[in-house]
Amino acid sequence: MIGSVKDTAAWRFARGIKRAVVPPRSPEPLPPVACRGSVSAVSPPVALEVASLHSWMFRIQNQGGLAWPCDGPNPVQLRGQWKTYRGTPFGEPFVLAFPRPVFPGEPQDFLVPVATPPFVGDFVLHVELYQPLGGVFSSRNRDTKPIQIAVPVLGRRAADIDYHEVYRTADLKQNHWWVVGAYHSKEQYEASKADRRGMLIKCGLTPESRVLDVGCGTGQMADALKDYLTDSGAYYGTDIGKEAIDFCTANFARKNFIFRHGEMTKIPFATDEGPFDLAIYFSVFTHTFVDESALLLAETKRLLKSTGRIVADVIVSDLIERCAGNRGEMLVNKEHFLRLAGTLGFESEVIGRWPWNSQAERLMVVFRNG
Amino acid sequence: MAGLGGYVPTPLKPLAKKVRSAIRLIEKAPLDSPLSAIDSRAQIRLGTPSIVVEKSTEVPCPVRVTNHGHSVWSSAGQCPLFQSFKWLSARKVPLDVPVQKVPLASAVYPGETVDLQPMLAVPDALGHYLVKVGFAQDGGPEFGDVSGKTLYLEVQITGKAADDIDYHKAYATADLAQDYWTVVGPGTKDEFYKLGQSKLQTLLENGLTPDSRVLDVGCGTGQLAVPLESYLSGKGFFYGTDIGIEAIPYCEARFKRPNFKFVQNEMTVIPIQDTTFDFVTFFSVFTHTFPDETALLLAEAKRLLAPKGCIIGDVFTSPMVERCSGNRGAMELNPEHFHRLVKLAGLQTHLLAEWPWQKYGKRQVFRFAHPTGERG
Repeated sequence: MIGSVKDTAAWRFARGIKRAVVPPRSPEPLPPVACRGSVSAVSPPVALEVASLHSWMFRIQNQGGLAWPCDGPNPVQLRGQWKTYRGTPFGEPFVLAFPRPVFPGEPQDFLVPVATPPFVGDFVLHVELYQPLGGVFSSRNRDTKPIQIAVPVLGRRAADIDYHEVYRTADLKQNHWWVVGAYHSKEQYEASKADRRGMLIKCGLTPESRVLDVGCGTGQMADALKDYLTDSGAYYGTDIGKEAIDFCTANFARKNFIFRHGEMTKIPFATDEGPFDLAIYFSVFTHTFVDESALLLAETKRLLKSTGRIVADVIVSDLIERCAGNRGEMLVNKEHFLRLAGTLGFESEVIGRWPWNSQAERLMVVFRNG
Repeated sequence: MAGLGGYVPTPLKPLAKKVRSAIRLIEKAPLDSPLSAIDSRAQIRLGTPSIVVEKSTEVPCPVRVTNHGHSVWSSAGQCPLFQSFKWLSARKVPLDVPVQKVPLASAVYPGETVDLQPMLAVPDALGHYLVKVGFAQDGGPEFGDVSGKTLYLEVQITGKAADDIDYHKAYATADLAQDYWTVVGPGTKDEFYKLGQSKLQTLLENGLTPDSRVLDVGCGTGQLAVPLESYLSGKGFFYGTDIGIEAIPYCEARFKRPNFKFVQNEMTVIPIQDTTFDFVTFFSVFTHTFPDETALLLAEAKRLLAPKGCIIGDVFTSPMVERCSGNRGAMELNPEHFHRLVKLAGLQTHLLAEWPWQKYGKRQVFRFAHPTGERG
């Protein structure tokens, strides 16, 4: 009888008014039986940008028989916690409030803004129903389960790079040091030349070395080597920016300095133009996907002396399962990266490390045939 | 109205603007003739240069446009103007996807800059695409940015998140005693056995003998173990590995021959030492792994390969995909990129069979072997 009355429009209208006038309150923790419900994410995002706000649609169903308040002293909320892909909590848990109370019955969809972590990584968002007094519902009612949603957190799209565009729009005659990134002024660029050369000498560079420079840019290494290499040595530079190659060809006019335009994962030198003693990858693997880096290393193996070495920098982070980021900045899992190099028979040695951010570091790695 | 601007006294200009925008709201502003070259001057800015989207969905594609012509642009009248979206491959080859025409929500007046929020319909084929963004008029010109530079939106189409797979969860929630086929794909028990037989057939065509040593990576609930249980002799043996821990005790209980062993593997590590195999199979494995993981798995298989042994595996390839697109539910690879990664792992490919997959792709079965036929 009551059931059929509850189905009438008049009943629902009266109930609606009552709910608007007297919103539910629950100053005490809800009884365990009322903590029964479910939460799910509606169309969760494919990937998110680092340190951004994203509106998530959560579908909440109250199966507990009592209304869940959205405000007052002890509201029912969602408790979120970012975790790393290994499952360890990352950062502090946070509360996501509902815009209106959740009454028993029909599932309701709420749009809730969630802040993404400030680091690139393979994260998992753990979400569960919660009340400040009483705690998480999953510990009070075993039918209520938390959910976990895997979300790759990527670099900002605005920080992504189209190298062709960068070179096309830069005036290389005026500031060829700026386009390659790491220098603030021409003076700094000049001063660091000896440092750059010194590091290569530590990796076995001699004046007679044959050097392969992948991602040569506007010639920061060519510049450091142009007065160092003898005529029995050689320098071969390649870059995906055609403008960079034209600039280098015009500016480094030595017979044994060769520049050629390359593709993303192909080195444009024939095997008989090698073999090389030393291959340089500065700021290359910091911008390529890990499978691309592996293909570049395979290309290098084709051109390298059996005693040759590769020196490369890479940004590593424990928050990352394989690789994450974009062409503006790519981060990798160190073990995964080194294993891929290992499939080519390369042994690796880390010869330098610098903090990148609080979660990642930049490594200088030397590879040699094992 | 625009021409009246000069006659309105300065103090009344804000008011006049309000009146004008109110009139524009109700005005139809029909476009009844083709736009001239001067009137089709537009400045177009894409809200975002590149997006990653799920297949078969609609996504907002914010576009900021300024009308630098002298006439109103609208989607009303005899020659309505639309925003046009044309799908091209990453190498700018036009695709057989119809041009999407989206009406303007309201008229754009000369000199006015508006933010349009058209919904872009996303096709159902994974890959990396370019979408040419511009305007098209019925009976009039197609035009883009006034600079003459064609505007492209880069779009990566990936699998639906809903189709992504958490293998651990799939096994944890399945009742394997009741239904051991759905969790590994087939819709019925019969299909499970039929597919097992066809896998056996593939191995026989590649030299399987009763004495062969077989490693089945991603063995699941034993689709290949079923036919091999009655085929292999006491001299041959079978190792099955899977990343789903639940699959292992299930298989151990079902396949009780002493030369049948089962062990859990990691995503890219096969925890077997000191044993070599004549066959290493990856059925429906590379269709779910990222290309760098596939390379690592192939390197693992090569390590475990006996002299003259071979690896058999299937993969989705599509020329629309630059490197890879998709998720663990289904991964599609660029064919050339895939072959280079196989070579990187020190293996040679031989195509055994292929079928069409989705709109542009193929499902291909390969035999991978050491180039000399010997172990490296």
